[in-house]
Amino acid sequence: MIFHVDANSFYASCERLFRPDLAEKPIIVLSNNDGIVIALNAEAKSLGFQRGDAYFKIAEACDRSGVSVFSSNYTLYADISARLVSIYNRLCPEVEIYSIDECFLYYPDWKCPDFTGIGSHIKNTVARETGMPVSIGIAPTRTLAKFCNSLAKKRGGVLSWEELDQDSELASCPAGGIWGIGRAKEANLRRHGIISARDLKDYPLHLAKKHLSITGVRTIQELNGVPAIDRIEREKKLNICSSKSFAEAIDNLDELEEALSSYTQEAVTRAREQGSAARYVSVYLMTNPWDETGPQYCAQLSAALPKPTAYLPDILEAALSLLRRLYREGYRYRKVMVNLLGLEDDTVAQGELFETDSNRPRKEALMRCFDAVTARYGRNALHTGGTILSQRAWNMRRNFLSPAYTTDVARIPEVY
Amino acid sequence: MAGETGFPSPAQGYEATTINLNDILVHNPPATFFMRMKGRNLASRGILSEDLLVVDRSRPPVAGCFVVFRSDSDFACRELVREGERFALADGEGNRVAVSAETEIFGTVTGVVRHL
Repeated sequence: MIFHVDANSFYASCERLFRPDLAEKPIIVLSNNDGIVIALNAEAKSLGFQRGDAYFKIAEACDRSGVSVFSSNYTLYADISARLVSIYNRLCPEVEIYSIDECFLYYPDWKCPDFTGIGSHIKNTVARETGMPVSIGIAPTRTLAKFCNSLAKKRGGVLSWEELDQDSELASCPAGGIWGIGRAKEANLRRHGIISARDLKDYPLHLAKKHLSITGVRTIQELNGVPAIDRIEREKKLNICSSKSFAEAIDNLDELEEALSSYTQEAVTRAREQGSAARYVSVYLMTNPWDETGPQYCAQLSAALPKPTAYLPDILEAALSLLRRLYREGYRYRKVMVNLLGLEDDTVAQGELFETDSNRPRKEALMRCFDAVTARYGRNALHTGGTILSQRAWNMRRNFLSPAYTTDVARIPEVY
Repeated sequence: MAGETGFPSPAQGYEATTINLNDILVHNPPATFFMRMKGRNLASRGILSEDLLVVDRSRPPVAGCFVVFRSDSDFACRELVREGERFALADGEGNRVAVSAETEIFGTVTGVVRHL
């Protein structure tokens, strides 16, 4: 059975954790450089604000209606996200991170399981231990789990496909509301008489194979309870995460560095393939929570890159230095993960009037070469050696940045 | 680690890891938050201004615990005490606030770190 766990208004909820004065108040979170609204809570939505609003246009309205505005604080979000993931890992044998605020949890199909009860337990544990609200959709396929989650948000937070009046729920959801469909595909479906999610589910497979893309066919299978999407696929990701569990536990730093290097390279390659540059790197290191014989360790650190980059050596050095800070001797590690966050278009990132990095043309030439070799000989044709990350200054507009409450001892919340 | 050549270190197999305060102070990492005590509300109970509080949200608060809770628009730390059938939050000076359904407890203080 697949659980889709999603934090409600994740960024806004993170900002509220350590601001008791903001309970039930509207909150808006801005993109890198305080450009546009990227997240907002229900209270802000009900005032008419929307994702994508340009901040300079709504700044006055925010002021007037008492909306609290924040710059994106990925240090905080990554830390809270890692806390959620480590709780999921404790409660479920197989966790797949889909984005900074969404995970898929896979539970084996036991006899007579109380999946809704397990869902409530996850939700309550996360709320008690981190203060974060999550909602959970439970279904035999990912598409249906996401669908259940969208309903769960309005109905108590935990919803199982098996408890639903399935056909009528699908009938009252437009086809575009289903994971992987979207507005553009919705118009195409309409031409074939598919309006609701139920129409899509009942669309004959032989016609689907003729008229729809392979993802469309998979979505139909998933709606019918047949798992068909086994790899995460998305148009353009906002974060890219690469990790694998080791076949055998690793206890020494050299091997961990080697593993992390290859995952980082994979993540950077994926970022480059979609033309993105990363703002932040986060590394996650853990032992096997199911191994009761050894001591447990699980930790995460993230760092801001001096500027958005898709230059592998810079990102790799940042990732490795995080790993060295995380590493403790005497543990049998099971998993290392790298996450590239705050992805934005590489072209936008380059639009600076005065180039401060004199090595930039050389870096770009090198990465063009890297891309060409990767395209021709595969992702693992080239490997990196090590270099040293120098101290570099931060340069991004973040006028409304909240403190790194959970990661900087000088900025921890105050108590009276 | 011993080098490629020469005798292996006689201490091999006896290495101790350094003492890590996290192991002592943090029992459940995802549920643990650090906070800074401000003011002398609990000075008579041994918690001083500027003390670093280790707050574990997964530790159920019971009478006798110090808890962090929401007090209007701030966080406050007080001792949870029993008053007959009910609970109250007490500072070190004998002032008490009854615990009601609206009281939002953030977490239980499980440790205090102080530089001398």
